[in-house]
Amino acid sequence: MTEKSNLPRILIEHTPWETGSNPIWPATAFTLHRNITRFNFPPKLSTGHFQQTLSTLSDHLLKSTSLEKPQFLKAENINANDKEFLYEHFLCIEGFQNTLSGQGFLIDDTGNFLALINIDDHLQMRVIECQGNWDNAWNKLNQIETTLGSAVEYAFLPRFGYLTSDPKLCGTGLVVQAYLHLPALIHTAQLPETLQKQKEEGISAAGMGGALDDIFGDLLVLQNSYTLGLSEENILHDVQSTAMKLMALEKTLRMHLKTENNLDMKDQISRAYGLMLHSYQLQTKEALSALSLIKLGVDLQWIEGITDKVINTLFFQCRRAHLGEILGEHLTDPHEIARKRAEYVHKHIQSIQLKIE
Amino acid sequence: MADRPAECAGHCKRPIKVLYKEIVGNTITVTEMCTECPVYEQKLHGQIKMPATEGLAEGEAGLCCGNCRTTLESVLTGNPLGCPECYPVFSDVLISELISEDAVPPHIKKSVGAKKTQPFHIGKSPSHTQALPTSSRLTTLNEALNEALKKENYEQAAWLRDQIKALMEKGSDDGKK
Repeated sequence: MTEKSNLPRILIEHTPWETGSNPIWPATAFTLHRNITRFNFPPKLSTGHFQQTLSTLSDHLLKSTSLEKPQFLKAENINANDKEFLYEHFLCIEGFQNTLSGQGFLIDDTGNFLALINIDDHLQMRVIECQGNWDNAWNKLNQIETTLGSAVEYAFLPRFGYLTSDPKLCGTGLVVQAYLHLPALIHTAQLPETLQKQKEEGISAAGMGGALDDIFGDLLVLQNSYTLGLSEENILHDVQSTAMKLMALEKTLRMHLKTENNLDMKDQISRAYGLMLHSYQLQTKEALSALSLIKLGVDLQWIEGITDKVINTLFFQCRRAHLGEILGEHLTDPHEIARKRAEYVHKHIQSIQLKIE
Repeated sequence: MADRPAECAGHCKRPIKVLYKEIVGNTITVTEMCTECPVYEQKLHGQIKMPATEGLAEGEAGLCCGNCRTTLESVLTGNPLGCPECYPVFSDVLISELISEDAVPPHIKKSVGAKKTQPFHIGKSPSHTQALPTSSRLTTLNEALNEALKKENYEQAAWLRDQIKALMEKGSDDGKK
C-alpha cells in the first residue's frame, strides 16, 4: 500500500467516458494558456514569485462560481501515483511527474476541470467534455477565464495576443483536442491519406503517446496547429469540422466492414477477444488495442454481452495509476502490473460473447 | 501508458532522432538529440549553425531581454521565453521562427513585413467575453453535409442529416424547457 491518495473520491470513482454516448468521438479537451503580466514566465520565475503566483491564482480560482467545490492541490503534497492519475484522467499528452514546490493543480467536483499552475505557463485551464455539450464546455472555460481576468492582469499584446512561454501557443492560447476512436480507419490503413488533407487545413494529429506513430487504443488526437492569427471561434470550428469529417468517414467504413463481412477485421476482433479473456499478463498498450477492437466488435454487433460504458471505463481503469488506485496498491513491478491488469480485465469482461461465425 | 517522447539533449524539446556515440579510449559517451539540434551540428561539423541569425542585422545576434536576460541564442534553440518583455524584444525573430516552423496560418505568412507593429492576433482580448454561438455546431454539420453531397457520398450525407435532425430536435426540446 502506498501513501494515501489526496485526490477526491469522485475523481477515482467516475471516469470521464462512462456516460459518454458517442462511440466514435468520445471526448474533447479545451485548454487555455494564460500568464500574469507582472511576473516572469515559470521557466524564469524566482522562488518567491512562484509562491506568489500560486497563491494568487489558486485563491481566485477557489472563489470561482463556475466551479463546483474546487479543490487545490500543491504539487509537493500529492504523490507520484496521483500525478499520473491526473495525467490519465484528463487525457493529457504530457505528464506532471517533474512538478515541484511552487506548482499546483486545481480540480473540481465535476471531474472535468483541471488547472495547472506554474507548469510551463502560470496557468493552464483544461476542461474535458464527453457528453457532446461542446458549446457548454467551452463557454464554461471562457467564463472562468473572463472572471479571473477581472482580478488579475493577463500578459497580452495586440500583436501577439495572450503571451505564453512557448511562442507557438501565443495568440488565443487555446488548444482544442478532439479524441477520436478510429479503429476502422486505422486498421484499413486509410488514415495517412486522410490526415494529409487535414494537415493543410491547420489541424494536426497525434496518438495518445504524443506522436502520430504512437497511437494506441486506436485513439487519434486532433488539435489545432495554430493559436495565433485565428479567433477562438475559427479554431473551434476547424477542429470540430475536421472531427466531423473523420467521424463520418469512420462511420461509413464501419458500415462497409459489416456489409462486406470483412475477414481480416473479424480475425483481428477475434484475436482481441482471446487476448482479453485468456492472457496471463497484459501490457497497457496491448489492453487498449484489444479494448478498442472489442469496442468496434460491439458496434458491428460481432460481440455481445458487454456495454460501451464498461469498455469506456476500462479504457481508463487498465492504465497504471487508475489500476493502482482501484486496487489500493502501489504497483511498481512491471510483471505484477501486467498480471493485475489481466486479472482486472478478465473480471470485468467475463460475460462477453463472440458472435462471429 | 507510454512515456512522452524523450527530449533532445540540446534542450530544444524536439523528439530524439539521433543517438550519437563517442568512443574515446575506454570512455563511451552517448548523446541523444534531434536532427536540428545545435549540439548535433557541433558534434558533426564542429560549429553551431544558426540559420535564423543569418538575416539579422549586426547587433541583433547579441540580443538579450533586459528584464529576464533571455538571450537570442536561447530563443533560437527553442527554449521557452522568460517573460512578457521577451515578445517585443524578439518580435521579428519570433515571427520568422513561427513561420519557419509552420506555426502560423498562411495569411500571416503573406502579411509579414507589411508593417512592423501589425497585430497578428484576432481573437479575444482581456475582459472581453466571447461566448460560442449555439448554432455553430449546426453550421459545421451543414457544411459537412454539403461537402458530402458534393462528393456524392450519400452514406455520409444520410448520417450527417440524422445528426442535424437530432441536434435540431434537441434544440427545440431545450427551448421548450
